[in-house]
Amino acid sequence: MENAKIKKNNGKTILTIIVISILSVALVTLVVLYSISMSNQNNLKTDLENVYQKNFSELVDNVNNVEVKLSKVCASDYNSYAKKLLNEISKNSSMASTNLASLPVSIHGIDETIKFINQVGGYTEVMASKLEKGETLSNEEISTLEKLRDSFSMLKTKINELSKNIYSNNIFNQSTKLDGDYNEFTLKLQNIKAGDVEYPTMIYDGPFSDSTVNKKIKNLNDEKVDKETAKQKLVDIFKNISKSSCSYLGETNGKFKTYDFELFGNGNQTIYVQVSQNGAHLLTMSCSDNSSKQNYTLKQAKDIAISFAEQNGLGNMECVWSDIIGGDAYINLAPIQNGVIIYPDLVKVKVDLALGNVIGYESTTYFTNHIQRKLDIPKITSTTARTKVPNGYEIIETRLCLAPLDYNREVLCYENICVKNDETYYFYVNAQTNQIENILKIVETDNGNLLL
Amino acid sequence: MTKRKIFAIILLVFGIFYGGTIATLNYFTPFSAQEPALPTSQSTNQNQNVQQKLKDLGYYSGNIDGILGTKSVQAIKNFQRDYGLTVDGIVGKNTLKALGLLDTSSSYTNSDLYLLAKCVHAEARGEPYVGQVAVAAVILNRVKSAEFPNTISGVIYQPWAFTAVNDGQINLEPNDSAYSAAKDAMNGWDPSYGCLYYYNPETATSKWIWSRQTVVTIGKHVFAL
Repeated sequence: MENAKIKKNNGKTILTIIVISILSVALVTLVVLYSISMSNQNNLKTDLENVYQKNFSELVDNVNNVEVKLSKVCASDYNSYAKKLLNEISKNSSMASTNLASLPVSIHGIDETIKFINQVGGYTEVMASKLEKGETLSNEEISTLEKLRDSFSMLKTKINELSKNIYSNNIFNQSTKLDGDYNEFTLKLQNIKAGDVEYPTMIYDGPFSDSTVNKKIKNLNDEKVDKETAKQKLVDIFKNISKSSCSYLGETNGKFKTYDFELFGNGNQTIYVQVSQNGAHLLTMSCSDNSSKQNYTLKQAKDIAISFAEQNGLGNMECVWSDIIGGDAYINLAPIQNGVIIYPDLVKVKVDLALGNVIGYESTTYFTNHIQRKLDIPKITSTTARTKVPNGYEIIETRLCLAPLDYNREVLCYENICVKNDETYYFYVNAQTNQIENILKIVETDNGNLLL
Repeated sequence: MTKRKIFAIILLVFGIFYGGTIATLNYFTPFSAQEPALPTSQSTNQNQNVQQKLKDLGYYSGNIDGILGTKSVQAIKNFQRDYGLTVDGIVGKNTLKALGLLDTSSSYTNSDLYLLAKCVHAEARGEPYVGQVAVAAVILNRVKSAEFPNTISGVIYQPWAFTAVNDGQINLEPNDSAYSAAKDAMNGWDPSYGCLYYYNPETATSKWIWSRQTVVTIGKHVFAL
């Protein structure tokens, strides 16, 4: 009896010890796990903080550099030294905007500041290239540069004030989100623009200028039509599609105003089309194609593309670029005027090589740029232009073209298509001055050829 | 005896927990990268592939034996003639490319396209194709715009610009449709006609986004300037 009691007591003790030891081990494990995960997290936080701090320091450096160099430009005689400075400013601005965009800030906290910095970079780049060509800056341009210097100096002051606060504070901690988009750091950066920094408008033809973004549409002045007319137009173009398989989706009210439809074509393809409200022109057509079958050849695809453009009222087009990617042919067409290829007015067509039908069409570039050009008579001959191609490059073809160069500049050029070591190059030689304006190289990639 | 038993039990418990801890630790280590899967179907015989492809296209009727005899060479020549290639009966780079058999061995990987496709896949899979093209176009419009970074990676990785980048979905492998949409956008397609923003009105949390001028609704996304 006594023995049984002792045994029972012993059993209880063992059980208690087991439970206690399990619990204590569990507790120790949890503590170890937690401290390891916390230390990992802290390491990551520090790493991230360091990246932010690096970007912020570089931002301050670059902004300071731009400000100093702008002041120097304004003190210069706007000649060769200014050209060097302007090029440097453009580089520093580009880096500053990269730094700014890498910080943990909501887009709309910094968009105006990034815009200003980018435009300063764009403007100084254009001014530098003017000086490079031996031109002089106009009084208006000089006064814009002076205004930029003043605004930039204010931006500099604001960012340097902020930096005193940033170096002693942790960016990571300030960047934890508060309300949807805003955090402490965003608000601080937003204050920069809310302050006295006034951003002047810059009128120039170059990167990030408002004139490039808001380019006017030159060729869409027809009468506005209703959506039924637009639908009828589609039925006329796609002969195998009836009105019932063409459903109206809505309107697009952007730079182009369109009626949008969904068509159900061959082989279960759903085609999305946008027809201009002015004149019912087919502007954009998109459709995915996942088959890689090729029943049609590239040559057939080119003919299909050309006749499709013709059906849409864009005649006299020639294929200037083509490539097969997957089961689709990508074909670029350009209009020909007096034997000259008009490159700014490209129409892009995508042909499904399995079914031989057009599944993609893009003519907004055409309608933006296309007008009847006044083409000058070339001062130099094609033979002279060919001498500009360096030795060792075998010239395959030379033809006249109107090339879009820089920003909004169209230049009559001889296009020399050349081959060297199995690589294809395009040399563009100005038909008036015999200067090389541009060189393009075809780069083969895993996803088709690129023209760089 | 009992003491020993107790000791053994305590050891056992420690043992189990220790093992468990190690296992859990490995599991929780950040960025524990998965080994990339090795490509399994390396082409065993290029010639057989060429013959098969020519047969599929109706140029070749012989056996798929991997031996390029007269019949095969004639088929290659016919194919080259139809596809506007140099008619030499030799399967070179251009012929392989036209046959769709060129190994992806070019020294230039189009990383921008890959990144764009990843972002499209993460942000807009399940959307209609044209909606995917429009998302890719918005990214490219941002690159051109002064208010945003000037590179594709700069735009995509701008903090809090895209939710799918924030939550890591960007690292999913893009599908064909996303690739195709990215390619179209890079080639100049823009069904949004210059939009810089898009949002899903059902899930958008930002009050600010509603103030933008809307251009078009495609699928679940509203595109805005």
